[in-house]
Amino acid sequence: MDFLEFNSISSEHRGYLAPGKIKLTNDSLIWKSEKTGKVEQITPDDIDCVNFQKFVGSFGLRIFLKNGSLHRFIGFKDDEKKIADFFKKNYELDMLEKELSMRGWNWGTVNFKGDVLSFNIGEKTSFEIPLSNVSQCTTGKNEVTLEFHQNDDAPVSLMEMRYHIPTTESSENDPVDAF
Amino acid sequence: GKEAEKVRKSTVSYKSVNQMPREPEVKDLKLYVDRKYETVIMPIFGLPVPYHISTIKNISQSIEGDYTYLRINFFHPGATMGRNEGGNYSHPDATFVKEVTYRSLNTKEPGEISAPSSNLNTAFRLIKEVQKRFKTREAEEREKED
Repeated sequence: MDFLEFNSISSEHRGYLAPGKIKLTNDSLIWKSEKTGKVEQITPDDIDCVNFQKFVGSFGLRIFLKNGSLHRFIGFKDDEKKIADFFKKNYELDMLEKELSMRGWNWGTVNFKGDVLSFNIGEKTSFEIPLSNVSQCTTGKNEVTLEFHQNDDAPVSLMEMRYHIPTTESSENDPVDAF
Repeated sequence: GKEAEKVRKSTVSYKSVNQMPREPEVKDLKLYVDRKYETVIMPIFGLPVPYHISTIKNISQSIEGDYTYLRINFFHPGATMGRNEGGNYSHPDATFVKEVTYRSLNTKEPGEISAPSSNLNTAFRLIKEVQKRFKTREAEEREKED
């Protein structure tokens, strides 16, 4: 059986990086929590797309499922070629790089795909919010406020985010509908 | 023209991820203030997201019960404009991040050297510091030009 295994790979949950390890086999992707022993299993058939994203000193896998949910596994070192080949060979998926915007700007465009809001600056993503993390969403004049579920395991927890939205943009009511 | 180009250049944080500081705070999804690049790196659901100091209008901190809160307000259309910010608003269709609030525990877990909220305290202090330096320099440059 063909498989890849990586230790010290974190899975991101509401801004918290849960330590664990990941195993890729020819029929599933399994992440196991070091702390709780909890297992997350993803079957290749459920995957819509897989990307890798470069971080400081490591890279992460961004796995977007057909049901609209987003999974992040962070902490990989220099094995992107190996992993990409594995995805290609066993899951018939292309692992492409999804570049992040490093510009440092607070303006851009908002897109929705599945249960994920992504904030893009030019062609690149600045950040993404899985809408399952949102506890409340309120709209005002030219403004949308998102409040998030809190996670005390995270060293710092994002509570609230407020956006300024240009006028006459009806599509921006989407976050409300998404709930 | 040339003027706008100059302003724009100074308000880009990083050209690529390779310029991001290799600090534990960035990896651990905490707030990090990069004094060299005048950028605040904020964790947003697994991603360290840079915000250049020129986008930040003001910040405030409060302590309530067991938690410390840090609120960061950004410049956006409708807010009092910074004099050099005019260029940013040439995108009428853009959505702006207006405000973010972070929360952190004041209580220490056994074995922790400092409470999680010390990260927010440090960020608060450093953002103020970098912001002050940035504004001073901006003012000086304007004076030179005049």
